[in-house]
Amino acid sequence: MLVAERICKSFPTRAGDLTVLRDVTLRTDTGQAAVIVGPSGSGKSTLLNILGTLEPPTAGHYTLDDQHPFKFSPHELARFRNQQLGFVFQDHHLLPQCSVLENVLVPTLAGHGPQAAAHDCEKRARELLQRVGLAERIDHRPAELSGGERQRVSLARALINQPRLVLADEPTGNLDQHTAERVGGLLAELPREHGVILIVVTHSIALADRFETRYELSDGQLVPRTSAAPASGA
Amino acid sequence: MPTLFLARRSLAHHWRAHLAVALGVIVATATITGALLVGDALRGSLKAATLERLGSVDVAVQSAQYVRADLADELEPRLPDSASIAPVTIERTSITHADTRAIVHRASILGVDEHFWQLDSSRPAPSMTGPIRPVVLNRSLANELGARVGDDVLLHLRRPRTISPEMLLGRRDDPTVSLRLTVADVVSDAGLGSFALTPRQTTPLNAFVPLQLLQRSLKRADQINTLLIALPPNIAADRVATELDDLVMPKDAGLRLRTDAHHRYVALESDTFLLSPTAETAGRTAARELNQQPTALLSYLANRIWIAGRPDREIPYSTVVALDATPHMLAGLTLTDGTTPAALQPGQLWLNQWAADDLGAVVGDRVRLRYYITDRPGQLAEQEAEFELVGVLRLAGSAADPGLTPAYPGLTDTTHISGWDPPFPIDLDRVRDRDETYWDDHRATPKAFISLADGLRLWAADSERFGHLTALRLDAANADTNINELRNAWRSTIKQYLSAADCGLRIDPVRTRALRASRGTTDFAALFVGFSLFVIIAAALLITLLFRLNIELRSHEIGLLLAVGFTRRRIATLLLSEGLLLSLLGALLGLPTARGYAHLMLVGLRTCWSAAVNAPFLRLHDTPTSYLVGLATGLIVALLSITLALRGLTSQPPRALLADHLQTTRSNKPPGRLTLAIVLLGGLVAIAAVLSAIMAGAVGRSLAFFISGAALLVALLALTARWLACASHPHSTPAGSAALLRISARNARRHAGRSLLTISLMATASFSITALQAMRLTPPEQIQQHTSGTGGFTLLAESTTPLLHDLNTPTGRAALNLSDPQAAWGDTHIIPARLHAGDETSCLNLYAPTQPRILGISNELIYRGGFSFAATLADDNATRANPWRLLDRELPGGAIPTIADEAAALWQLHRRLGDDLIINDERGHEVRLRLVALLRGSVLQGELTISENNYTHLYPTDVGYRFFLIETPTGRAATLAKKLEHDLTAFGLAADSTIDRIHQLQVVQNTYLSTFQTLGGLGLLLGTCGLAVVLLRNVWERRPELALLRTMGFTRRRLSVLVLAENALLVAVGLTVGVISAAVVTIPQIVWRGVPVPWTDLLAMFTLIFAAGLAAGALALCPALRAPLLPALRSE
Repeated sequence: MLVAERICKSFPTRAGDLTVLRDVTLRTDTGQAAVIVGPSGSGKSTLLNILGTLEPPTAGHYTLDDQHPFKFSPHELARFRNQQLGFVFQDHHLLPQCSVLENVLVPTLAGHGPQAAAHDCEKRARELLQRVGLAERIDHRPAELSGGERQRVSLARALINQPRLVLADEPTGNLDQHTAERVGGLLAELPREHGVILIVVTHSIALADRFETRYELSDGQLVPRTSAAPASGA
Repeated sequence: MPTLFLARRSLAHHWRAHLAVALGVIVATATITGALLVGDALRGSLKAATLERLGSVDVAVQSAQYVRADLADELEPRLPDSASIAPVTIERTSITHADTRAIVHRASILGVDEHFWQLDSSRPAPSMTGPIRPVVLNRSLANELGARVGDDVLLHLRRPRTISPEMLLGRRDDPTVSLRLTVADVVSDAGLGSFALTPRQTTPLNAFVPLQLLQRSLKRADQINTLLIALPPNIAADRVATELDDLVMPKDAGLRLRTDAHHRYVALESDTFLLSPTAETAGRTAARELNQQPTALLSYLANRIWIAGRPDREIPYSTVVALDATPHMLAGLTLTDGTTPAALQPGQLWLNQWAADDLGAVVGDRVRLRYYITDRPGQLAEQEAEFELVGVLRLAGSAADPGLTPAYPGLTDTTHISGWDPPFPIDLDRVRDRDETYWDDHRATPKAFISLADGLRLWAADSERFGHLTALRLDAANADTNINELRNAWRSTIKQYLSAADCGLRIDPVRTRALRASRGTTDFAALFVGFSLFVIIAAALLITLLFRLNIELRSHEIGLLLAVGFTRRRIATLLLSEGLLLSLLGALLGLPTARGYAHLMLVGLRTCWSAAVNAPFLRLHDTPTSYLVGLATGLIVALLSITLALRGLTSQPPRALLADHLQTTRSNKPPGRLTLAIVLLGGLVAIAAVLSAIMAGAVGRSLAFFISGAALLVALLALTARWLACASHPHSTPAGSAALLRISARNARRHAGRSLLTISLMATASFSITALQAMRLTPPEQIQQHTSGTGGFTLLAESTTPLLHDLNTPTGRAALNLSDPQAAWGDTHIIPARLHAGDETSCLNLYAPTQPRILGISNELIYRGGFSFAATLADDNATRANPWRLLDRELPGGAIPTIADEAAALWQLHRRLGDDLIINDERGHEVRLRLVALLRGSVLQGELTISENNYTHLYPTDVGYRFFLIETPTGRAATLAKKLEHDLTAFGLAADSTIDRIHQLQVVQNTYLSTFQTLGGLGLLLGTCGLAVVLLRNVWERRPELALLRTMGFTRRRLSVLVLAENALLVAVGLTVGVISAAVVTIPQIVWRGVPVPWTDLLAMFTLIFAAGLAAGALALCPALRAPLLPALRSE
């Protein structure tokens, strides 16, 4: 279970501290998904980065399955990220020098044992790629893929280590409508299919509508939304 | 999928970006390996050259005196079958072309037979047939002389003397031999054509003549002075020494055992007239072993004997014997009263009856003797001594023995006194008929006898050098003693106590010595690594810069890896692995490049930098070790640079990395501890180096100032780093150009790391080039100042044959056949010095001096003083005022005080003030020379200087003066040099201007500096490339910004100003840092050495560096400004 309680985040500036998140609280169970919408600069990505342990909160309490990642040493944190989290970025960040399959396998190289045997990893990578509809493209390089295909590779990569939490930051932000729908469909099936917690940050109403639990981040505060009606500034 | 796979993949994918980094690694590896290969080339070429010149010769047995040639035949059967021996005679010579009168000094004449040419079976022997008196010249000599086959040449060489010309009975007339020979062949410089026993990089100038011809010309039939021996590999030179010790006979030491059956004694006498100290010791020891007590005799010539107060009656030219008579010998003497005399006491004298009668002397009279003594070579002085006549001996028995005076050709073998041919002036008019009658009857039988103590006191001033007895005698005490058996027993016992060294034979393991010498004085590998240091630093900075830029371009990759759980360490390892692969590739490609680089360096050393090494034979002699060390070092440099490039990169927040927003500036913070530590350390090192420079000698001082400058450079760069790292305060930006420039300045600090690297490159370039320019040497302007490097001497002359007469006196000049000897020489004064040939210690010699040239300077120079001293061991006012006086000191442990040039001591001999140096004296004994003072920038860089007294002890048979320091007004120097060279052609005298000589020495250092500067220029070129890359990257990153400014109406010209001002600021800061640091090096040089500042050169350098920096900026700017506007804007 993901528990984020009273999360605050502020950044120092010349004009004084800039508070981005104020007492944000979020709870999501395994197999569930939550989508967060909000205008630009509302702190969506900051919240996602905190949940992804890419930056610490200024205050608050965050656990995943009763683990306190921000109390971990750098090495433990890296291991946590590798084993428990999966990221899907708007810019997918595939390694241009690696093939599709290799890109999916990259997280398995982080060296946090116990690791499955190489062929098991590869088998899983192929399965994941098949699941995202890229079985025929495994030897292609990112430069040879469309935007949607790249994002699907990114999705497969996020799942390779069977994480507990998948964080998607504007996963369809750079995609056309048709492709975005396909990626969105894949994302929506993730919690049930892979038993993970999925947190999606998006501007996309269409994507947000695919999920039952929706929040809006406004003025640094997270409030539940019952419908995916256009968020202010979205 | 292995982790390394990622590194490999990345390397392949980003190959274009990595190509530049690989080029940096190639440059670094090539430079380091190339420098090592230059070292290999120097060592290898020196070794190859010297070994080729030796043929198969392993050992040379050299003799100060001539020895019998059949020693070779006797030695050969004692050595293994495969050993071979060539008896040769080697002398210094000067050669004149008979037609053109072209002269070559400092050549060698080698009397050789077929055995010599067999020492190198790979080449045919040259033809010595054809002309009646043939000579074969080597190619270099023939070229220098302009001689061809069939031409006649005149060779002038010293006339070997058995009796030292510095003794009364040594001949000083006709000191040279001239041979007119016809060139029969010209032999190649390769192989034995350039035979030389002393390693040197210049090609020896050799003239080969048939051994017998040379022997005849020198009147040394069947004698040689050198045995060249080729040994099988497993036989050491010691074996030769052992065999020769066993082989040599007393006659090889010039000793003869003469029997006198009538007077029943055996006399040990020497061909050199006086028994050498070693011969006397051997004779006495052998006598003791035979239970014999020898009588010691010293015969001398009195120019006049008379009774004090009665000068009208005199006996001219009589031999007098000083003796330490044994009882048996005394028994052979009878006084006129029939009694046997008691032994003589000091101050007492006997006359024989003939002399007493002639003088009308009676016992109790005071008898005076007048005799010659040798003062300096060629200078005889008459002295007198007075004795009490204590007895008159009957001219019978032992007193009537002409054998009391050893045989002396030209004197004892003449039938009349009027037929004497002595080497000293005599007035034959004083010889009376009765003297001739005495000569007819008694020859050289002494007319007077004194005690040995008196004889030694009066006539044996140089006893340690030449000995002090003319004979040791063993008397056959018993009537039944067989005199011949006594002689044989004494001879064989003496033989046991005589070594080859006692016979003047010096065993020189020439091959071993050549190999040792060919390691060189200077580690050229280290030197060229030093020279290339700036290139290496520039390459390392480029590697850092380019790798950093590459990784920065891929920062989102790092962000991703961090996001998916890679630890920072693992990412660093991954990137380092990539760097390692890249470095390995670059380093491997650097090896063939290194060969090319080394080849270029050698071409430089053979051509434009030839003055530094003067070694046209330099060739590549690669060794696997150099490649391995170069590869490893190149790899280390590259990896360190890459590690530096990665520093801080992986510590960036993953979010920033993913967004490609790297933190390149930091907030305003006080200087970090590391910066403070670097600044403090740099400052302290600079101060310490300045202090040590103040106390050090000239050479050490330059080095210390250089270190202090370098330390200051590091400290200033650390401060600059801090300045760049601190974010600028917000300013109220004024309008206009000032605002634009301020924006430029702020831009320069946006990428602090890149800007720092740029500044470092510029600063290092300007520091090195400025500091080196100021270290250039210039000859002293006031050459006639005693305290300058010339010592106030205008000319320096050296002869192949020693001079025995004083050039400062009309008599001496007349004796040397100088034209117009009576003409006044005005302000000209010549101070002669003794010179023992050896390895030059100046920087002109690349070989390590194993037996340095030794100069023996007279008291005249010691007390005259002069020259400039870098450091001395002076401990009192007298030696502080004139450190030359230290040469007269007696040092503990028998070390000999020695003065050397500071540069020679430091770089050639690797010794400091107070250090000892071991050399071999003439007998092969080890002698310690202690450096008591070091000359600064002197003309005497090629030799070590000791006092004449010490010199004659080390080299007793070295005769006369071959080195001359000449004081003469500058305007007359050229004329005087020409006159001396012309009039003293037979002596092979060559005179050089001291200023030219100093210039010649300084050219070496200046050429090294040029080499350094050229390579510094190469480094600057690399630095400029780096600068261009940085600016290109900066400008490229700012394309949207520049495009935006263009949409706002900024002209391209205005934008150019904006970017170029940023560039100029970086270059200017770099130059300022470099110049301030260089000032620490240069200003003391100017103050201490009075070196004029090469302002023009320096200004040109700065302009060049600044222009290079601006050019790099312009290069980077053009493509960015030409880029289309819209795509650039879209990338914002």
